[in-house]
Amino acid sequence: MSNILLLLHPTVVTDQHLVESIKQNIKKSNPSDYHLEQHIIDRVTRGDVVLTHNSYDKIVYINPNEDHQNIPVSLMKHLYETLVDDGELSGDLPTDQVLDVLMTGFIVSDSDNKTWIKPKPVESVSIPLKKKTAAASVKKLPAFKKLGVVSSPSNNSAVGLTDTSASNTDEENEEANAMKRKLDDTKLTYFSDSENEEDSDDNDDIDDIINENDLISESNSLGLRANLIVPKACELPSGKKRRKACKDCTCGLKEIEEQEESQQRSLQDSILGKMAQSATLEAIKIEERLKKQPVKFTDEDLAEIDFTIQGKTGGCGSCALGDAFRCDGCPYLGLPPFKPGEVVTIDSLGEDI
Amino acid sequence: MKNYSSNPRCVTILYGTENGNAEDYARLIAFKLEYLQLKPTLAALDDYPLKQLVTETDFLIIICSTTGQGELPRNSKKFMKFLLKKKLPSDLLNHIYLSTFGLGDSSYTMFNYAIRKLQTRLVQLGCEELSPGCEADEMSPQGIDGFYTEWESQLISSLQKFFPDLVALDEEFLPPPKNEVIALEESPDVDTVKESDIISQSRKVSGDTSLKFGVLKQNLRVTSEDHFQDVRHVIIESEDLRYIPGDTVSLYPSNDNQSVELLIQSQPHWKPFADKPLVIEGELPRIDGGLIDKKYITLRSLLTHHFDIMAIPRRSFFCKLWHFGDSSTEDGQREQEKLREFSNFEESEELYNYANRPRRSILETLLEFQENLRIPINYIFDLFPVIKPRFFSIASRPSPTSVELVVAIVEYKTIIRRIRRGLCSKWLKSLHEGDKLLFSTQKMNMKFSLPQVPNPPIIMVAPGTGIAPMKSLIEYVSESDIKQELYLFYGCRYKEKDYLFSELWDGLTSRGKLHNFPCFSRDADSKIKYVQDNLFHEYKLIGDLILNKNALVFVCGSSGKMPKQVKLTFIEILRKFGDLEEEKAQKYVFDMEDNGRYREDVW
Repeated sequence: MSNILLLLHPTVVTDQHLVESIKQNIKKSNPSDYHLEQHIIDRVTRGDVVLTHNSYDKIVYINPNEDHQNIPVSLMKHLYETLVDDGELSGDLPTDQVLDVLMTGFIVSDSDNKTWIKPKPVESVSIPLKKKTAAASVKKLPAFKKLGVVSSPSNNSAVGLTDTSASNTDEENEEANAMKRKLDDTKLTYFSDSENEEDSDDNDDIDDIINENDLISESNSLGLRANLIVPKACELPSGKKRRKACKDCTCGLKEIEEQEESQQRSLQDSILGKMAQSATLEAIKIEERLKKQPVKFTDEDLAEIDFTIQGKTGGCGSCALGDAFRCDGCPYLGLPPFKPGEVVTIDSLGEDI
Repeated sequence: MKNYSSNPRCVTILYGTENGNAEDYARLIAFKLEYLQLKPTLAALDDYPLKQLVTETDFLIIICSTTGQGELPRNSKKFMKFLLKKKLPSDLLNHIYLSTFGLGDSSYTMFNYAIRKLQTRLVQLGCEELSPGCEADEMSPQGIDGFYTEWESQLISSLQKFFPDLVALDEEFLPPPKNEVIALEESPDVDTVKESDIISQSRKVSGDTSLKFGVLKQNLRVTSEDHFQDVRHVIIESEDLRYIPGDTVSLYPSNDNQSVELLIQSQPHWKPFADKPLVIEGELPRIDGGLIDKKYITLRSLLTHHFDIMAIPRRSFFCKLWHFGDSSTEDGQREQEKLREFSNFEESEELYNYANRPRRSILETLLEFQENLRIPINYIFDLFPVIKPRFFSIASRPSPTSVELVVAIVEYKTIIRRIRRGLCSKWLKSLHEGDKLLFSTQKMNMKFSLPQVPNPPIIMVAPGTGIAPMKSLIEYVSESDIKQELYLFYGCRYKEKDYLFSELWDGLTSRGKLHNFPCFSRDADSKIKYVQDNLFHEYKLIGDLILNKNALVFVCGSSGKMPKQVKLTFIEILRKFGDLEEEKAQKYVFDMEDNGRYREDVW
């Protein structure tokens, strides 16, 4: 009995008839006994669905949307791993990702160009570092993977240090560790010892350095651009619209902001003016009273010396708390917080009125 | 999939940042990972010892912005330079899982080029994908935040698969500080105020010889007194200087004593220790220009010379700060909730309106919340960002004994009543002639020649203080034997108020050493207001210089509209003069950029 994995694009799932006809097609081309498992592509890409390695004989990939034909490299690798040897991936496969396909290790079928096959591993002897005893192990095909990179048009990397198909198993035996240390040592020889390379680097022959601008076109051919993360909704999570003028705003938002700022400053002026006025009045009153009867201040008197008559805590109760708590359009915005009954001083930071 | 749970240190977060944005996101992801019980290493790309990519790193997270013409930020150039070596083998980094996050602005043609270059090269060198990369766009309605949250959630779920045994910590918990700070309470106080300038000059990086002592020879306002902007012509005298036109100087500003005192007063429990010697444990974050001499280290001197209390508080700042709120009272609870809100992506508008838009400083924020905020001394290194050096283009011809700068003093108003002042501006304004200061110079490797043409004509476009590197270049060429035609397109507001170095230009013009094309945007009688108008007015000259004489173009000034419009103007000129189709003209200018014939230095 063969295992078939059917991967569907989310838009396909919504169409019951389409899904049925796809399944019928599978039935037609696979007359014998088979087990069919079905998942949505995105869920596999995200890792929400975990597929067992080496378990499917066939994967059918359905993505009829013309715009989104590209398969992320991570998914491609994952699918490769879930196929058994000689397993096939077919369906709506992209035609412009050949390099990625080969790098992943697939072989593109000669017969129809539309099926990707996971080749059978071949016996190979590992190419040990220098004269390390050959711990012969079964390896995957030396993989197009890195070779693919090397043969890519503008690649400038030297050939690899190791047989890159060495599998990353959990065998934490000493030999592996020793091997890793040795590999690390080899890698480290590429790093210069002096931290301060700047001066020596000025003498570097220009031929030894890749032109960094070439990397931009290379990023396309490596397929890195096909798989970038983009945010979901076109609004902030809170549902509010973003309101911020760009540095070179031309839509007028910047002018609105500037206008708001100047309005705010005149609001502040009027508030400070009123406070100064009422403070003077208070002072005169108190002085007069003191002349009449020089007594101690009572609590009541002290409460009277309240320069923030306009609103001890402000109308909404938050004005006194500082900008972090003030409403939009609060006249106190931009002024420091104050305790109810305290003078608002703008020089509480010592300068710059 | 291999289980890495036993090695929570193998995650490395590197950032390349020009204005601190990328760094803030790097700090956020580092903090987030600490809650997954990972112990990530966080560093600027250039500060990370490269060998540790092999010895320490299995998971690499890179966050990087793109500057200027698709270039990497200043603090990531060394890293890139290493990666670009051709001799590196294609499996050098095949032990690494990589995820990248770029910050960019899609209104620039070279949108997110820096992160793209890094990612591509790292993949070429064998890195595997940890989670998909992301190229965030400042211009999109979601802003950088929208991209970041999506990228972060995918990154974290990918990482969790590699670290299945690590359990996420509760958000209420605050990880222990990275640098334990111990005050030597029994020791006598150290007076760090009186000798503030000596202390500021006691910075050192072991082995780094790039720091120079200088004497401030001149700190002169060169715009008229009634002009809105104070621009300084600064001359520093020193010795053994080596620089060429295009190079930069970095200055190391300090906070003023009064601001520091205000902050200390706002944290009463600091007062007894403010002037005690401190012992700092653990590996310190890298500080550009180095830490002040150990014997002067007190809370006060650190706040004065190293912690940027005048910076705008970032989200990563609030992520830690809210933990220090005292929620035992109603007021305290309300304030703590507010601080926590500012650390939250769901409320990014709140933070923007509170901090970024009015340019509120960390100091002002802490003062507003001081009643219910108690910041343990232990956490100062975790909480406060460090003061970064400020970079200026050199404005003088090469000289071993002196260097000149043109510095615009940054002062402006927002809704906050106090005038906003740049930290460096405030510091520089307080310096007097004869004062000593530390600085260093950086090579920018600008070339004003072409492979086939040794001394091509140079068209310089320089509004405002963009004039600085032009002055260096003009003085250098005009006083040497080099035969190179120089065309200066200078722009400012008023001929009489902010036309910088006008006498110098007039003198050179009359000696035939310079072709000078100034324009003034606010003078009533000026017909041509902006540099781009003036370029277009001279389209025959410019077109001929570019198409027939291999001219170089060098644009310097504030970023934003100007460099874009100047570039469009050049394209238009080529269309008109060379009778080229728009696409061809465009391609011509882009090719000039690629070949180093069109250079922008904008900030």
